[in-house]
Amino acid sequence: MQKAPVPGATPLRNLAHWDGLMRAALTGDETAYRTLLGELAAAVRAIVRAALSRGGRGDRDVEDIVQETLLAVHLKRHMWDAGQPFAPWAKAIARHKMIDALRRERIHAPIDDLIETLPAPESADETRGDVARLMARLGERARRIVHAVSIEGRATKDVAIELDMTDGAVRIALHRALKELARLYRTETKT
Amino acid sequence: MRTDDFIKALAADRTIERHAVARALLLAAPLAAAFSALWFLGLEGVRAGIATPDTLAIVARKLAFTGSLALVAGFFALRAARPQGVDGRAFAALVLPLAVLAYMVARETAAFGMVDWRARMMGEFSWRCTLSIVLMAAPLLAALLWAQSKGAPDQPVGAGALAGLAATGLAASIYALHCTDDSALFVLLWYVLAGALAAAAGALAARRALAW
Repeated sequence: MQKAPVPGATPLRNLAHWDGLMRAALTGDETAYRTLLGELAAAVRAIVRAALSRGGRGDRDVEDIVQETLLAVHLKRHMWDAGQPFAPWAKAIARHKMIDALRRERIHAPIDDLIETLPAPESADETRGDVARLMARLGERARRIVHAVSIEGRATKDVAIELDMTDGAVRIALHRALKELARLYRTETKT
Repeated sequence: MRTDDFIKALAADRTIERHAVARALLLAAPLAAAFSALWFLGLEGVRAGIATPDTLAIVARKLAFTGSLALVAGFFALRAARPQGVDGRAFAALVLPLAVLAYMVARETAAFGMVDWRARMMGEFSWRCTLSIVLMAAPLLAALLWAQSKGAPDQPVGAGALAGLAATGLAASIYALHCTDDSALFVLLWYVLAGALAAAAGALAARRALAW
């Protein structure tokens, strides 16, 4: 999925097609939305990676910040004005989330220093387990729903049958779970 | 979790919280206003003789200052709920209420010169004025911050300060109906002090209240 126009020194430029994708997404076009989020992830990844390496940090937290940014863009997409270009808007959110994440990190610098001496783990596209760790804090049903639609890639209506719920109820529960994840990102400090 | 998998979860969630900021404001602002109104009634409400032409003119000038502050700061406080919503223009626009106040001071100075300026500035109910405005502004500030937090304010300090100024504009508009200290110098010191306090409170509260 990450074959987006890999952004160079000035990412998020010439991305006018994002406006159309986001407008389609807002009217319920799930395919357009996935494409957009995939490309956005690639662009944000490049920015975050550059910022972290400037700050003398490795790639360790990149994917966590990428996912937190995507989550913020998703939950706040009602604040995007369809008459404005989407890329600078998303970039402002990414910057905000990155500052948040770096601020949290600094507080736990001693622990980070320890980790710094360990070998860098896993592939770049995988998180160290932050979302997974935060998901453990969700209720059992919410956790099951998020797991099913993400890692198992199942449709909400299938999950609805499994859990004996309506499709609408599953979607509402999913929305609440994502909001709760965003809250946990915000309030949980990294350990 | 892989980011591609995480994206699947995001795409499956179709709930869009449209008009979340406006909705929060419509819910919270009346509650806050009711609270402020109660305090106002505790102050014995509207001043006596407000309908006489001279008094009315004074009250109208005070309201021009407080009302324009509420409108300008309120407009930009709500814009600040958007990413990149605050810029220099927001604070430049505050020149408008300040110009109204400057006009009031100039007008009074032209009429009375510097005679007794200290007494006029200190007025009769100085601390009660500032305290009342700040207390009436507090619930309005809370309502504005809550509404802003439903958006995506990426400059929380500026957004919070603007919310504090907007709340002050509204609270001071209510207080102006009661206030019997009629010198522009009084407004210059005590109303502006109330605004500075509320703006500082908004900026300080913002880091926590406007996290998203």
